[in-house]
Amino acid sequence: MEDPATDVSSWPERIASGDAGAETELARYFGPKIEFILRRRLRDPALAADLCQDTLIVVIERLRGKGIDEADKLAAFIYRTAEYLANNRGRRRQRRNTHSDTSHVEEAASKAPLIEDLIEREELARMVRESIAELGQSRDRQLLRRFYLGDEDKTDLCREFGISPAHFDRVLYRARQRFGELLQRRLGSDHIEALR
Amino acid sequence: MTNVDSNPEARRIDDYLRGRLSEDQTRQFELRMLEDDRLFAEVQRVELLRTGLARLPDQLKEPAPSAAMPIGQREAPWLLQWLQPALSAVLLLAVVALGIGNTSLRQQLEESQAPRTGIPVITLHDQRALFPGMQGDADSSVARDGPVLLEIDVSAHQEQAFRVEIRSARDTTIHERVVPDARGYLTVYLPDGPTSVAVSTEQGEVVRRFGTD
Repeated sequence: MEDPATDVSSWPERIASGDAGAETELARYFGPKIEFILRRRLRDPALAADLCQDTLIVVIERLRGKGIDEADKLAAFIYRTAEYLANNRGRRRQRRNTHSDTSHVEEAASKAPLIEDLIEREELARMVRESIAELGQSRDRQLLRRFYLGDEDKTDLCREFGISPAHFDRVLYRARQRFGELLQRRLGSDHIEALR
Repeated sequence: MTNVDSNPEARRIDDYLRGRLSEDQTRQFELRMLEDDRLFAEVQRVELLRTGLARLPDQLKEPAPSAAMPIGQREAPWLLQWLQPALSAVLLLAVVALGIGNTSLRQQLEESQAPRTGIPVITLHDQRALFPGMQGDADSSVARDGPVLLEIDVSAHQEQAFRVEIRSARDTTIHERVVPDARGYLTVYLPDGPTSVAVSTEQGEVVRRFGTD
């Protein structure tokens, strides 16, 4: 769940009353998540980043003006807005350049990058190599790759490799744990809580 | 957490990242991710692991180049030495052939945007010839050699998703909530034989119709 210090439900009211700080907090909290979702959906990081910013601006302009009916459903409202903009991205050109006084929102969103954008390509390869090297057996490494990359079923893989589902679970768990540790070490204290 | 993958949450994350959730389950999961920092972090971590794995196989399988010999001085196999000029010549010929091709720029653009499926794609350009009634007259049945993909321009309509009904001699197939691509086109698969297509809004208003109904 969200950090207790992040009082999401207070943002609509604060933004309606002109609190730019709440707008920045909203952008930093929801921006990376929306961008991640859009990136997966659109397979176009640049377009996803643009649509994410559009989403935040549309939401904030709405909160500044008419507001939303249920403040406790802010996340759902943001999600629907992102979904709508993604589905109507062909009409995006007309929508741009109509926003005012939102540069702090764009800046806040850009300062909260996705984890994958913080890791260099070679560095990621090294961390993954190190994580799976510790699995020991070549069979376990193959299992991991075929599950995540080959999109093969756990049941089929267990049968083919002659292992139990419990062993399969352990392989994935150990790889994830080790990778998580390396990631935490690399990213520092800012991300340790979130990644634990 | 003693064992991530016996945990339903971990399985859910895997299913999400591997595209195994239904549309509705995906929306629910993403909405939950918006409200849950910890879940979002875990999803990012597993996605990063998948990305890293995808980049590894070649590096793991291929032996590292010999450090003793600079890259430019490595000895190529004799077959490669022979093939290199031949391949260069073939490439040059291909470039020349492409350069003098008489396909219009417009057609090239449409073709480059079409999905690559191995079966023909009927673009907007071709529809006008194949479907004289494409503006809504519905006066022609569709005769084709084999199945095709049909691209339907719905960019003039505001709806996010459409209902597509494909009627053939054998059966009728209905696709709900088909979302247009970035150009505002729907792409549908038409089986072999006479076929009619009706595109309607979710409220039931027919916006495009092709072929004999």
